[in-house]
Amino acid sequence: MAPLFGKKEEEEEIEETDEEYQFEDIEVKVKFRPSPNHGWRLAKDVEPPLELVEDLFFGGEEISKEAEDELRSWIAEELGGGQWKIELTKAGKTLRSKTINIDDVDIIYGVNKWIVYVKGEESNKWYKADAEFAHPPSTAEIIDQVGGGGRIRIVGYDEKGRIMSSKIVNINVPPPDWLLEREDSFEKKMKEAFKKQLETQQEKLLSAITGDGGQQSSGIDRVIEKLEQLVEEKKLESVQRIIEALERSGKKEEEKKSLSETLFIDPYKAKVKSLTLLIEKFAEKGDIETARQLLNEIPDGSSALISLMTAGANLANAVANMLAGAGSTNKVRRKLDKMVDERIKKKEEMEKEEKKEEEEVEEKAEESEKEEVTESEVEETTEEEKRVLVEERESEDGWDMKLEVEE
Amino acid sequence: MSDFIDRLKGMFNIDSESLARVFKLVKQIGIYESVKVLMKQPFFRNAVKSKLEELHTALVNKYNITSESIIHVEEGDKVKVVAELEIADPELRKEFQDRLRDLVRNIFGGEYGLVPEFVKEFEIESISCKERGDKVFVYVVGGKKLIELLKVGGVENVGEEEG
Repeated sequence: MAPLFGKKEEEEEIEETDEEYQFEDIEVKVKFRPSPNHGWRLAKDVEPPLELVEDLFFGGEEISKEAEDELRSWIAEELGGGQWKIELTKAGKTLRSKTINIDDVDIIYGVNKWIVYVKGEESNKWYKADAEFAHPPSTAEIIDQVGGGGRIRIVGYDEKGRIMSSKIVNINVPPPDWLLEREDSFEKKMKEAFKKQLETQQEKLLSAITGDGGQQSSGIDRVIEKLEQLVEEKKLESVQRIIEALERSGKKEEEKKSLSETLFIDPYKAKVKSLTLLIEKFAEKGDIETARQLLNEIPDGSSALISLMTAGANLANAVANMLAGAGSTNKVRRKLDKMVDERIKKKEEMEKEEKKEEEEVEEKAEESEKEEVTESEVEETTEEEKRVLVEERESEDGWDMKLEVEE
Repeated sequence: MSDFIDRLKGMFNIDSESLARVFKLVKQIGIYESVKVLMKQPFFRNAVKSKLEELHTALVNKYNITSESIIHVEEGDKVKVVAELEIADPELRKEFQDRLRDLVRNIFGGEYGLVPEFVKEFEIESISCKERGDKVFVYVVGGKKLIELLKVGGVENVGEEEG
């Protein structure tokens, strides 16, 4: 917004053109910055509706809140996101100011062009795409210009080439072909660079041993020959190691396993494999009955169930032990161990008592009682906890939940 | 007994004693520290990463999410995490919003063991969701520790903010 009552000439100009733009002798200034990392800059050309500005500062609590919301919508629509400060000043002194943050709308103000970069997952490098826009690009425009998706960075520059905005977006379509080619050439370059470095080091080492002139006695010749041989072997070994490491890193993605696979599927596979081998052995020995019994073991999934139960219990214990280990540097661990031991003892005692009681009741009743006891124990731990109070509100364009822990 | 504990027990067949022990330890150490300790272990880190990737793929496929981004904005001693998802289909957009609301309502309104600790430790003030054009915005307002948790939890580029 143009200063209303700042410099005299501007004041006069405004008075001539738009007399409504006045708060007695108060000047209204609008400042902008893309983020807190930038400095404020005066947005002389920005003129939000004056009645909203008036309501914002002088409308009372309710009207002021409404005016702020309306101003936010107006700025978002007309000027885009960022931080906007509206100041009332008099004789150069700031009387009142209000900052409006708009963080869910693209920053447009002050941005001259948007350039797109794509991240290479192998090299972790950002590659500049042949895509430049005069407006914040849409996903479809990016896919069209870049030739694919992936991890995309959209950078907005001002007319002086300064970064005004930077946003990283995942576009859920395969990355462009050119990126894969550039990633491949990056890997090749890395390998060549490694080789070159090794060769240079070898040359340096040899020249250090042989001296500049290269004149040696026959005894030394043999030593040098041996050393050369060793260096050559070492060099080949290192190159081999690097190539293997690079290949391994390339294959990492394929080797990843999910938690359920590691915990349940792999042990199950191993068990089935062992059983198959045993069946073969028994069958070879002519013990068909045992082989048949073992064969029945495989498809009923009982071994998988055992693996699952064992793995589950082991996982819980591993988590508990790991967490207990986290507090091992202070007294907390001892305290926790003591508490856990006490709890286990208490549980054992309770279980003994329960067992006695259970003996007097019928089998079915015993089972249901057992379940109830186990459940109530877990409830015991949750009942001690505080609750979260959720205050829900619905709006035209969505919903909002305020959370507060009950005191 | 809550559904959550039921499901957790069912998923890993964890006995009540072990679960109570884990909860107690997490409460003593704090959620952030616990996650940090667990994520230092390659086994858990990979498991969490793999689960997050599975979840991402499932969500992208179910709701046809074309693109998504996550930023954070600091506001005084608070931080606002904004996730932006582009869902072209209006019905799917609506379904996503509704399902998310049910999920948040059930988790925070339920009696789940560590939820009050989570809200307190990360000073979670509000969670909201808005639709603008073909995008859905999810906002979480909380303490600055929330950003650290997201980073430890493997959410990439959460440190990037506009500007």
